[in-house]
Amino acid sequence: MNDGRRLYWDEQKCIRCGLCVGICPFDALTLEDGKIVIDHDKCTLCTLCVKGCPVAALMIRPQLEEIARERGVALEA
Amino acid sequence: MRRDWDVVVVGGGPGGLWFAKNAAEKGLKVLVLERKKEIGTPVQCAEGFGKEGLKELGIEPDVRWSGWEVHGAKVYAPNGKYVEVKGEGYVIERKIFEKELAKMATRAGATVLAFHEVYDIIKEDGKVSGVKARFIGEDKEFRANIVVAADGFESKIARKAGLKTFQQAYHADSGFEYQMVGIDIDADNIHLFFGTEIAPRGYVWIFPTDKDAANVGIGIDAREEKTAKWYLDKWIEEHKDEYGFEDASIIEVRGGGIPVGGLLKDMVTDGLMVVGDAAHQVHPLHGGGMFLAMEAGAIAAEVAAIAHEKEDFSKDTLSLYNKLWWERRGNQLQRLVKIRQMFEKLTDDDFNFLAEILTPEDILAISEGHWEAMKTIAKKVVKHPRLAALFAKMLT
Repeated sequence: MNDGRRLYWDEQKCIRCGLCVGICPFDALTLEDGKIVIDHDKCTLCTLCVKGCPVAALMIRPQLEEIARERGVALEA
Repeated sequence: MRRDWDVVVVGGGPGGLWFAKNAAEKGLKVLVLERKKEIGTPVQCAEGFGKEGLKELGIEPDVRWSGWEVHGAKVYAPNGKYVEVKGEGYVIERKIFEKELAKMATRAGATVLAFHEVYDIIKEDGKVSGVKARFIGEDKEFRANIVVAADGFESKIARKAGLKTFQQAYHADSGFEYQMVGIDIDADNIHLFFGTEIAPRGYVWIFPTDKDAANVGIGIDAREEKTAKWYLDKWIEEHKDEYGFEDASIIEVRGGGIPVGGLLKDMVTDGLMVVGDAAHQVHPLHGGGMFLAMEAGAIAAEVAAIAHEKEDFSKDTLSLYNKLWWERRGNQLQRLVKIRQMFEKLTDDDFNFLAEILTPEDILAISEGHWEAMKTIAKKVVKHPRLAALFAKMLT
C-alpha cells in the first residue's frame, strides 16, 4: 500500500501478546525477539490489528511522521 | 543429544506439553521447542481450571500450582442481579503448572527446550519434515516425521505449512487482565459480569487467587474501536468502592488474543498437526482453552502413535485426528459458537431478563452447549418476543 500512510508499532505500549500477529489475514506481522516486525509490502492497512490490540500499540499514521520519528527529526507543524 | 525425532512440537504451552507427555508414553521420541526463555510465561489467561477437567486428564492437584480453590461462579447481569452456579475448581498458578507439565513430559521421555524460536518449517517433497529454530544466535535444524504446531494464537507454523489458520477477526476476542492484590472480594467464587457497555460480546471477570487477590480481566470483540484495556479500566473505576480497587496493587499485567470460534474442519496436512489455540480450540462462550488444548494434545498423540506404527505420516493418516477431535469435542464447540452468536445480539435488557428466569442448571447447560436444554430455555422466553425470536433462529 502506498497512500502515504503506514502501520506503526509503539514499542513502549506493546505487551508482546501476539494478538496482531494471529489476526492479520495477510501474514504481514511477526513477533521476533520481542519485537513486532511489520512487512509493509504485505500490510493492506485493514486495521484489524489496530482494533484488536488490547492496549492500542498499533496505529495507522502518515508515513512522513513515522520516518521523522525513526530518525529523530522534528517536523515543522 | 539425539538428532532425529519422531515428533517436533512447536510451542511449550499446555497443548504442546500434554501432547509430548502422551506421545512419549507411547514410545515416541518427542522434542518440544518453546520460544520464550521460561516455560509458563508470560501468562495470558484467567487461570481457571475445573476439578472435573483435571480428573479427566488424570492430573492430581498439587499444592505447588493448585493456587486458590473456588466453589462456584456468580454470573451477573448488567443491573447487578446474579445467578450463582456451583462448581469446584482452582485458579491455578499457571507458570508453575506449565513447568510441572514440562517435567511430566520429560519424565515420560520427551525433551523440552526453552528459548528456541522456530522461524520456519522444513519441507521436502511437499511434506513437512522439520523446523528451523534460533537459539542465542545459533541456527538449528530439527528433522522429524511429524511437526505439531502448538504455537498459540499467532499460529504461524500451520500457516507456513499451508493451512488457513489465521484468526478471523469476527471470531477473535481481545483480552486484557491485571493480577490485583489488596482487594475486597467474595473469594469463594469466580465472578462474571455481562453487559453491552461493560464488555461488548464478552465479559469482565474476577478470578480469585487469594482471599484478597484476583485476576481481574476482560475479553471483548476484537473489532471494537476501543481497547480491551479501556473497557476494563472503565469498569474498575466504576466499581472501585465495591471491590476496593482504589489502592490495590497490580502485580502483573497480561493480554492477548482469544480464538472464540472459527473451528478448523481440517487441522492436518502431510507431516503436520495443529493443537490448541493455534487450532482455535477454545470454549466459545467463556474463552477457556487449557483443558481443551490438553485434551486435543492427547488425541493428537494417539494419532501420532498410529502414524508411527504404520510409518505413514501423510495427511490421510493424520486426518484421523480431525475425525476423533470433532467427534469428541468439535461438534459441541460448534454448537457453543451458535449460542455465542445468539448471545452477542443480546441487549442489556435481555441480559437482565435472563438473569430473572435462568436457573443455575440452565446456565450450566448453556455453558455445556446442551441443545435439548436450549430448547427448554427457549420455552421460558416465549413471552419475550425479542428473545423468543433469537432463540428460534439459533435453534433452526
